[in-house]
This record gives sequence, structure tokens and C-alpha cells, in this order.
Amino acid sequence: MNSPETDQMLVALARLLTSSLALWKHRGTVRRETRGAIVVEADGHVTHIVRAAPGIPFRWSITIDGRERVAGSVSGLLRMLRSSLDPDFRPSRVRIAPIEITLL
Amino acid sequence: MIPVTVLTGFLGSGKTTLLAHLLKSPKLARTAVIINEFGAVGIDHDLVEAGEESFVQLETGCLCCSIRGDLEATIADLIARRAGGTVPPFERIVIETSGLADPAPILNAIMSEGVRGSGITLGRIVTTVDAVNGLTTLAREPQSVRQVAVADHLILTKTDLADPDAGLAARIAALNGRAPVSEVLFGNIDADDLLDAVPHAPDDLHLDAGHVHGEDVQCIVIRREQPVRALTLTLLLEALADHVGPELLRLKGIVNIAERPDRPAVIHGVQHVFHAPTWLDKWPSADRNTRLVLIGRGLAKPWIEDLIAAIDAELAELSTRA
Repeated sequence: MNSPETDQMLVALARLLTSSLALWKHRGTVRRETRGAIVVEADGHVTHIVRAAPGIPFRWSITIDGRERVAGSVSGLLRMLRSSLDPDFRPSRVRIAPIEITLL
Repeated sequence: MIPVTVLTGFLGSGKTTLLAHLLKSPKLARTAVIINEFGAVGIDHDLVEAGEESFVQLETGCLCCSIRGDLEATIADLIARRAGGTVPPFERIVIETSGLADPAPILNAIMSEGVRGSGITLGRIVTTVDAVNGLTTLAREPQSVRQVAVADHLILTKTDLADPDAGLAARIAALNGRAPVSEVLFGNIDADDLLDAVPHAPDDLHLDAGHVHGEDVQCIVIRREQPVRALTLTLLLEALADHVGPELLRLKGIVNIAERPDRPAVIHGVQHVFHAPTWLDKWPSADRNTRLVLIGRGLAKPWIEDLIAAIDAELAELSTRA
């Protein structure tokens, strides 16, 4: 039995995954399964996403075509999913300038 | 910090005329100038009077593509020479881009130099638009659309040759309703009006939500009443850099951070490079909503909203487990 917060998170994640497929121009489906898993099927790939088991220092377990991986956040999960769908995907890692903005 | 002002605009739109006029102002006496021309022989250099030692001409190609590395090296070299005393202690750099330049890689290069701690910061982006040919140019040339979209200040030139067309004004307003538009003849504008106004102030963030203008450049406004966790903002920027970074011409915003609700954070980024937030002492108006403005190609407002919602929900769930 999931907590209300967990349910809310899974609903939000499923919605994000659906709009992400559209953004990435992939056809596919996103569905929630009964025990809290989210299944993404796109371009012949099947991805199962579940909360990682307690005690594991990652938040998400992602099984892509039978191979399990982990991610520490929603943004990490997205990166992993897209990498499986787009072999040419190269994330542009964020860079933060060490200075404050100068208001001229 | 040394501000780098970017002067851009399509071919023949009056950039060099404007720059030549500005450099006659005593207010720009301590200015280093970088001019980029597309072509093997530079001409603009001869049309602008400036101290040779602080003047660099890049004529090996278009600044935004083939010689971006040259730009970074040039800026770094200028800073080093300034520190070594071999050039005058300039207080500003002005880059005149090639008329064919996509501004995003140039802004990215400037901010990347900031990341490397070279002591520069992105100043204002000034874009010239030709009143005679501007509307046609905007219809035909995607680069000109990007130049207008990212501007902090738009300069309408050649209004002595043609009355500003209502269609042009509408097109400019649709592309960039935030930037002030000045009609300028022969570059005749006060340098203070152009260069020293506040470039990234929160008051800039007045745009119609969801404003979309064509298939090329879009401007998206995200507004949230609920304060944003600092970690949500970090993860949001990370995901934006990952998935739309190359297409993100500019991002600017004022953010109500949940952990510091009385001091709004101003954020600013180009592609995947972001400045560290500036914390204002107080909210500039009664509006305490978070407002993010994203300008770029291929952006999707629903995706960004879903992304924020999912990150927020993840962090909310995490806090219940703590």
C-alpha cells in the first residue's frame, strides 16, 4: 500500500514520462501497474520503473529490456530512459558559473 | 566583473554604424572591442575608431560556428593582457557579431568564460533591426529571428528611409515583447541608454504566458505560486540542460525559493551554462510568484510543467520518508 505522497509522485512521474516521449519525438505508451511500477513501451523497448528497495542509496530502479540500472532522481531517471531510446543522446551537463550575476 | 556587451543584428542592419557612434562616447573610453566579420577581408574594422591595442578583429569565419574557440581564446587573451598591463585597463568588452551569427553559441562562450573564472560576465544583448528590410529578413532568415528573440534592447535602424512598418512592429513584439525598442538614426543613441541599464532585472520578466511565435523560436513563461525548493530548481536546471540545453537560447527568471522566501533568486542561463543565482534583498514588487522565461527552439511548456511537478512530488515524498 503506497502512501498518498508516493501515489502522487507516481502519477506525476507517469505524466512526465508521457510528455517526455512527446518531447523526444518517440511514439510509445506509459502505464502504471498495480504494485507501483511504471512501464514505458516505446520503439520496441520496454522499461520498468519502480522505487528502489529500502537501504539502496538510489531512488529508482529502472529495468530496460531486462537489464536493471539505478537512478538517484527523476532527472537521472529521465537521462537513463532517453539514453536507451536515443543512442545518439548526449546530455549537456549543467555548468554553473561561480559568480553572481552582475546587475549593470 | 567585466561586462561583455553583445551587439548583434542581421547583415546590413546597422551594427557597425551603431558601434562607431557609441565608441565616440567618452563613456565607452575604456572599452575593448571584438569585431567578427564573415568573409576573408574585414571592412568593419576600418569603419570603427578604437584603440588598436584593445581592438581585435576575427575574420576567419562566423563567430557562432567555426571560430567559437577563437572567441573564447580571444577573450581569455584580452583579460590576460589587461592583467599584465599590455593593454589599457578596459572596463567593458563589446562584441560585434557577424550578421549571420546565431547568438546562442556566442552567449554560451561568454558564459563559459565566466564559468572558468576569467572575470567577465554577460552584459546586455543589443540587436539592430533594419526598418527597410527587417520584416523580410525576419521571414527568411532564422538567425535574424534568434537575434531578435534574445535581445535585451532592440534598435530599429534606417527609419529615415522607411516608416516603421506596423507588420514589423508586430513581428518584433511577437518575437520579443520584453525588450525595449528604440528608433535610432545613424547610431545616434546615448551609450547610457543602451549599455548601462539593468540587463537581467526581474522587471524584464513581463511576457504573455505560453506565447509561441512560429515553429522556430519560442518563448515560454512558467509561473508558479507555490515556492520552489532549492533542490527542485537544481534538478530542473539539470534536466533542462540534459534535454533542451542545445536549443535553449536564454533562460531567465525570478524564483521564490522555499528556503528563503523573503529573498528572491534571479537566475540566468544560456544553453547548459547558468550563472549562480543572485539573491535580491527583497521582492521588487508585490508579485511573489516564481517566473521563468525560456527562449529557444523545440521547447514544450507542458513538459517543463510536468518536470517541475514530478521533481516536486519526488522531493515531497522523500521528505515524508526522512
